[in-house]
Amino acid sequence: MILLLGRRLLEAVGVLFVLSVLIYTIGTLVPGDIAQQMTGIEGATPERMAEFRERLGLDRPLLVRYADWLGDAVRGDFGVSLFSERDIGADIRAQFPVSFEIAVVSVMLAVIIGIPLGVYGAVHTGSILDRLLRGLSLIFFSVPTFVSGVLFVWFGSMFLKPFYTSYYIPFTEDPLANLRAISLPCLAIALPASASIIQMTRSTMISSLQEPFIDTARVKGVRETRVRYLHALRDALGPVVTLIGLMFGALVGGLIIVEQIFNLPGLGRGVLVAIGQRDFPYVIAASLAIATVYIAANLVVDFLYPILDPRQRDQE
Amino acid sequence: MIFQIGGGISMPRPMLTLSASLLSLALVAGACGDDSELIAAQEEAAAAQGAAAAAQGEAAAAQEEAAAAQEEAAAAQEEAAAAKEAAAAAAGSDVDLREVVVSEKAEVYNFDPKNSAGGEFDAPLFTSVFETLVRTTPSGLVEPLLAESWSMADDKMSYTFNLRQGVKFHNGESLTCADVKYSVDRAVSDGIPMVQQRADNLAEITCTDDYTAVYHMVEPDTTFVYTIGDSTGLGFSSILTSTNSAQGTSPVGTGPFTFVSYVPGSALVLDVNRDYWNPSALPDYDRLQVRIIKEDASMVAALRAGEVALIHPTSAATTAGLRGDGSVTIDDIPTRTFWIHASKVGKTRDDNLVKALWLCMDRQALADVVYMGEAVPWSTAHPLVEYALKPEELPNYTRDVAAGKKLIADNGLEGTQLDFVYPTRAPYEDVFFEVLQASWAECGIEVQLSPVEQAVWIPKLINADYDLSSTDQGWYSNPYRYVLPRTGWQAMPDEILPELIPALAALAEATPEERPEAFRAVQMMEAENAYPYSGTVYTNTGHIYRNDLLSNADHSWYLTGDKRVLYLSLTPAD
Repeated sequence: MILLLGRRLLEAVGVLFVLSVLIYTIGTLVPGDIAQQMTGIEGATPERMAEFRERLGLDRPLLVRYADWLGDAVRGDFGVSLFSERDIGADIRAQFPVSFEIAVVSVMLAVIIGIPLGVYGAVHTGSILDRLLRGLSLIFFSVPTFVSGVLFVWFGSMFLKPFYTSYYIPFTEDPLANLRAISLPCLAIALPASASIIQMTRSTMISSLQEPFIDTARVKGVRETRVRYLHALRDALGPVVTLIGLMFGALVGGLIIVEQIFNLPGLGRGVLVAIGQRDFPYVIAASLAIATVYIAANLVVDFLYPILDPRQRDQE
Repeated sequence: MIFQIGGGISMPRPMLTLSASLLSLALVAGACGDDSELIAAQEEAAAAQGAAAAAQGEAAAAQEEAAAAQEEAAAAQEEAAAAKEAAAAAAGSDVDLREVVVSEKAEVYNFDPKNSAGGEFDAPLFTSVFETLVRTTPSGLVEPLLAESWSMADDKMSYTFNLRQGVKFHNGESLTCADVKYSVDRAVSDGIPMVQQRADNLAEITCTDDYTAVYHMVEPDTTFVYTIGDSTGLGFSSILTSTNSAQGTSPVGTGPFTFVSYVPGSALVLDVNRDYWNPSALPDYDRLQVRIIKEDASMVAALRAGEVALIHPTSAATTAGLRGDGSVTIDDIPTRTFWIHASKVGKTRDDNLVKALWLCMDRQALADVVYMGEAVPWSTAHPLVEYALKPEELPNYTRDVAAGKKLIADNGLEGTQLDFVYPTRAPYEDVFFEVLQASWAECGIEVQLSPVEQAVWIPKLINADYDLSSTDQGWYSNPYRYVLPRTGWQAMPDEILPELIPALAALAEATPEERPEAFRAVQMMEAENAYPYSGTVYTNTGHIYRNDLLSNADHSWYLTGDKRVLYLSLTPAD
C-alpha cells in the first residue's frame, strides 16, 4: 500500500510538471497575449507596446520565464496576476473551497440518489418503476446544465425562496446561508450525475447478479437481501466508484456554467476569466490545483478497489 | 391625544372644545325662558367655559409633558443607536448599517487606475473611490470636482487648476498639488499604453503652490480638459494619494465611497465616506454592496427574490420581459451603439466597395428586428450631440440599394467576399451581424461572419487585420472621439485621406464656439470618403429597480460612464 502511494505520488509530480509545461507553451501559441488584453481596443504604437511587454517581462525567452515561474512555484509562490495585481495563491485559496464544496456535495447527492435507484432497477428489471427511472435518467442526462440551471434559478427565486440566494457565503461564516447558496446548484449538478450513476449501477448490478458466485451463494442458502446488497452490489461497485472518481475530478474544474448561472465565486469562473485575459500564470496555478484533485480522486479510487474486490488484493 | 375630564371620562381635545361650545349655544338658546333661568344658565355656561379652559390648560401641560417625553425618547434612541454602532464596531459586525444591494455584470479586474482600460470593468470601483480634477456631464459641460476652477492659457499651451482646499483622502491625508503631480506622473510612467496615450500631449505638471497645478501641453489643445474629465480615462486622471504604497490592493482616493472589500466573482463592498468634502452629495444609506451577476436570467431572479434592488440587463428581451411588471421601474436611454469598421487595408482599400457597404446597411432593420424597436438609426455621434449632422444629412448614410448595386457593378466588384470579424461576448449578438449580412447580400456583397474570442479579436482590430469589424461604443465627453481614426484600427489618414489631418487638428484646437462647425466639417469629410467607420443604431440601455426597495436611481450615468452618479442617487424606499 505504501509502495503504491509512493509510486502514485511520484507519478503525480510528473503529471503536474508536464501539465505546467504544456499550459505555459500553449499560452504562448494562442493568439492574443496579456499585454494586448490589458491595453484593450484602443491599442498602442508598436514602440509603446514593445516597451509595455518589456515591463511585463514578456520579452524574455519562454524557457527563462518558465524556469523563473517554476522556481517560485516549487516554493509555493505562484506570483501575482499581471492583470489584477492580486496574489494568485490567495485568489485560488479563496476560489478552490467553493468549487470543492459544490463538487463534494453534488457527488454525495448523486451517490445517495443514484446507487439505491440503480440497485432497485437491477433487482426489479422491467418493472414500471424501473422503466420510469430509466426514462427520468434519460431526461436528466439529456437536459444541458445551462438549461436546467436557469430553470432552477427561476423556480428557486419564485417558489423556493428559502433555498435560493444569489450570494455565496462560506460554510464557516454562516452554515445556513451557505446551504441556501449551494442547494440549488448542487441539485442542478447532482441530477444528471445521478442519472449516470443509476445507469452504471443498474447495468453492472445486472451483470453481477448473473455471476456464478451469486448462484453459489443462493445454493448455499444465503438470504436474498444479503445476496443482493452485499455480494452482488459489492461486486458491481467497482466501475461505479471509477465513474464517481472521474466525475468528482471533472466537477472541481468543470463547474464554469453552474458557477456562472448561480453566481458562485469558484475556480471554474476564475479560470474562465483568466483564459479570456490570457493571464496564464493564474491558469497554470488553477490547472495544477484541479489536476491535483483529479490525481487524489483517482488515488482514492485505486485504494477502494481492493476493499471492494478481494481479488485485487492478491494482484497487489 | 386623549385628555382626562373630571372623574375619568376620556375625551379627545377637539371633542372637549366642541362640547363646551355646544353647551354654551344650548344655554344661549335657553335664554328664550325667564331671567333667573338666563342667569343660572349663564353661570352654568361660565362654569362650563371655566372647566373647558381648565381642561385646555391641562391639555397644554400634558402636551408639554408629551413633548418632553418625546425629546427624552429621541435622546434615548440616539444613545441606543450610538451604543449599537459602538457595539457593532467592537464586534466587527455591520448591525443596523443601512445597506443597498445592486448588481453589476462586470468583474472588478484591478484596483489600480494606472491599469485601467476604462469602461464597465472599472467604473463601479474607480468612479466611486477616486475623483478627478473636473468631470464632464451628459450635457457636454465640464464641472468642477477636485479643482474649484481652471483656466486655459491664451496660447492654449497650458491649463491652470485651482485645487479645492480641505479635501481629505480616505487615509486622512490632505489633497495637495503634489498628489496631482504624483498621480499623473505615475500613470504616465507605469500605466498601460492606453493610459499613457491620454498623456501624449502633456509635457509636464508643475505646482505653483500646494493648491495650484499647471498642466503644460506639447501642442495647443482646447479639448484636454475633456480628457481629464472623461470617466473612461480614469487611469490617467484619477487623483491618488502619494502616501499609499499599496494602491494595487488597497485603493485610497478622495471619493464619496471608501473601499471595504472585494471577492472576485462575488461582490464589491463600499462604505459611504462620511468625511467627504461635499457631504450634501452623500446618499441616504451607509453601505453599498455591488454583487457580480453575469447572466441576465440570474439578475432577474435575484431582483424578483428581492436579493438585489437594481440590475443592468444586457438584452433588450430581458427589459421587454419586465416592461409590464408594476413592481419595478425601468429607466433606459439611447446609450449603446456599434460602429462598423472597414480596415481600408486589402479589399476594403477600395472606396467604392466601402461606400456600397455603407449605402446597403439596413439600419432600420437593425432597430426593428434586433432591438424590437428600442433603438434609433444614427451616425457615430451620440444623439445628444445636438450640433452633429444627422444620418439623413450625411452622404452614404441613407439606405440606397440601387446606388449600392450600381457602385458594385460599375467598379467590377461583383462576387467580392469579405470577412467580418467580431468578438463573442456581450453585448455583441449574432443576430445583429446576421441582419447586416442579409442587407449586404441584397446588394450582392458576400460577407462571411467570423465571431471569435475577445482575446483573438483585439489583436486583429488593433492591427487592422480584418476586412470588416465592429466596436461597441457609447457617449464620449470629448466629441473629438466620435470622429477620430484610432491608431491601428485601420489604415491611417495620411495614407487614405490626408486632407482629414488638418480638419482633425482644427477640431482639436477649436474653441467651444467654433467646435460645432469644425465637428460637422470632419463628419462630412469622413462620410463622403467612407472613412474611418460608420454608425448604425443607438439602442436603449438602462437599469431596472424594485419600487419597494428604491425610490430613485439616476440613469444619466449611462452616458458618461460615471457610475457614482447612480450610486449617489440611489434612494432607499421608506
